[in-house]
Amino acid sequence: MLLINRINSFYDDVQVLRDLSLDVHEGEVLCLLGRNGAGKTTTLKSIMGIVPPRSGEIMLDDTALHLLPPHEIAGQRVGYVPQGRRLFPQLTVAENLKIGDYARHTADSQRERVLSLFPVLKARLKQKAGTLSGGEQQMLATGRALSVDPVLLLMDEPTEGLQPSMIQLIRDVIIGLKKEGVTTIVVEQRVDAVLQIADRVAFVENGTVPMVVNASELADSDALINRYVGVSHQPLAHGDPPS
Amino acid sequence: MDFWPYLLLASLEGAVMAAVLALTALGLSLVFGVMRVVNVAHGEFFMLGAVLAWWFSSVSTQWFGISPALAFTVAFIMSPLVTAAVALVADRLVLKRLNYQPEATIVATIGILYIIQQLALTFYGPDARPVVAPFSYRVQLPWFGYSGYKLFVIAAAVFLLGLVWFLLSRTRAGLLMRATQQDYETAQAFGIPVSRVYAGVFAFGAMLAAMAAVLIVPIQQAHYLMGLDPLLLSFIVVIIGGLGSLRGTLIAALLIGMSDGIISVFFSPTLAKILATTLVAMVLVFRPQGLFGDRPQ
Repeated sequence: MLLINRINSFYDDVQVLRDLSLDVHEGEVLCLLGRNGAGKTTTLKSIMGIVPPRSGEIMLDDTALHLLPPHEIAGQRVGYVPQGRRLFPQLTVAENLKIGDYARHTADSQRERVLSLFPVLKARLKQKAGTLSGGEQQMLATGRALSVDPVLLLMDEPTEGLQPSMIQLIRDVIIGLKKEGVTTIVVEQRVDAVLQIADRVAFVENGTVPMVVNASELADSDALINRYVGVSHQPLAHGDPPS
Repeated sequence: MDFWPYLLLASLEGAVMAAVLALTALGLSLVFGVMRVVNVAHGEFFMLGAVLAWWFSSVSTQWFGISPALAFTVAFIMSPLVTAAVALVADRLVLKRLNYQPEATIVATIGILYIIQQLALTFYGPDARPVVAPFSYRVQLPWFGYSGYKLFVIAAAVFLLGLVWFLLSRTRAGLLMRATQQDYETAQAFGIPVSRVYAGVFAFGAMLAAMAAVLIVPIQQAHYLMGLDPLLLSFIVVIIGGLGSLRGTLIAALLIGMSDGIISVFFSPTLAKILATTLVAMVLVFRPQGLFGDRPQ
């Protein structure tokens, strides 16, 4: 499905990703786990072409994403939920969703599908995105990415700063998309969240992926978590308060 | 003349000034708002619009023998299009290659300013030349007669500003511009070809300046140095209104244009410029983001 082969990405002269390789299977949920600054967000940005790799390959099935200009990557049905949501705050909810539709260059809109997943947005269509609550903004950011009708969905800390009910809603959406066959890569700081949704977990450390494990293996290994996430990682308990 | 009719005359002059200034400054504001490029060459696109209007109008009249009204129409269509094409070339050859870096593009647009100005001097010459107004109808008011063309300029500018508003708020191109303005990185991630949007906005900004110039050139003559004043006034308007705020730009253009017109009639044009620059200084000191700009985070 998605094959990342030894990519090297930089911010100006600072190298962030070093020969990072990753193989993501069709229809799976893969979580990227690692300390702050390890390169998780940059991995997603490199896939999206926002931080294009200077060397290496990113193949989505037979399409070489690393050779495409950034604005053509979304057209390959790659949806992106950036860290901090990055909505267009002065545009309305409807316009934000329309931007999602734009990437596919087709007349059919995914708006009804998005609104059925997040009905609360229906009453907010004419409201500016910047005036929504944090939870509503996350719904819109997710909905905007779904407007691309993605086969590959990239989500960067989608539960960051959300209340428990909202976290559960986002998790349900990810699980629902998995049932529809959508491949998802999620950057997540919360180990308990990872365990609930992930099929596999890729640890990111110093700009590379030293290890990929099944999510079930993670549950039994505090040593792995301590090594790659740090001793201060979120607890494994269920129903805990939001970060 | 009594005071009130005199004030009405001054206000009409101010309204003409405000209308043309609003169109010109809107172009500058759009370019800065979407691209974060301070286009120092904006006044030269205004000048180019006026010079090309003279050329198209003269050629149409002398070579094809058409009426002044039709010649003006040809100039009004062709001059902004050619100016937009020149801006497009400048964007592709210079700004895009500089990756639209704010500091580098300031220096680059200063270079573009001199290139356009010297080309105009070389091919157009140092003389100021008039463009014949499309009609010479005078509106007779109870106190004085007033140029029908000047009233047309006000109406045409208001119509064009309305079209720009429609384009920005009701069309897909406008939506892409607004999205790019707010977050170009995320816009790119959703399939918006940011580089093409930038090129389009730069050309569109130049086109607005050229349209303003074509409207004003039957009142002021076309001259290769005429770009400086509109540039200065546009900067004043954009700074007072708030960089990138289109609503602020329109309101500030009305404020500066009207005050310039009225003060010029009652006192002197120099005093009008002194007051406008003083107002800018006060805005920069007390409200650096402008009257309608967003407060920096």
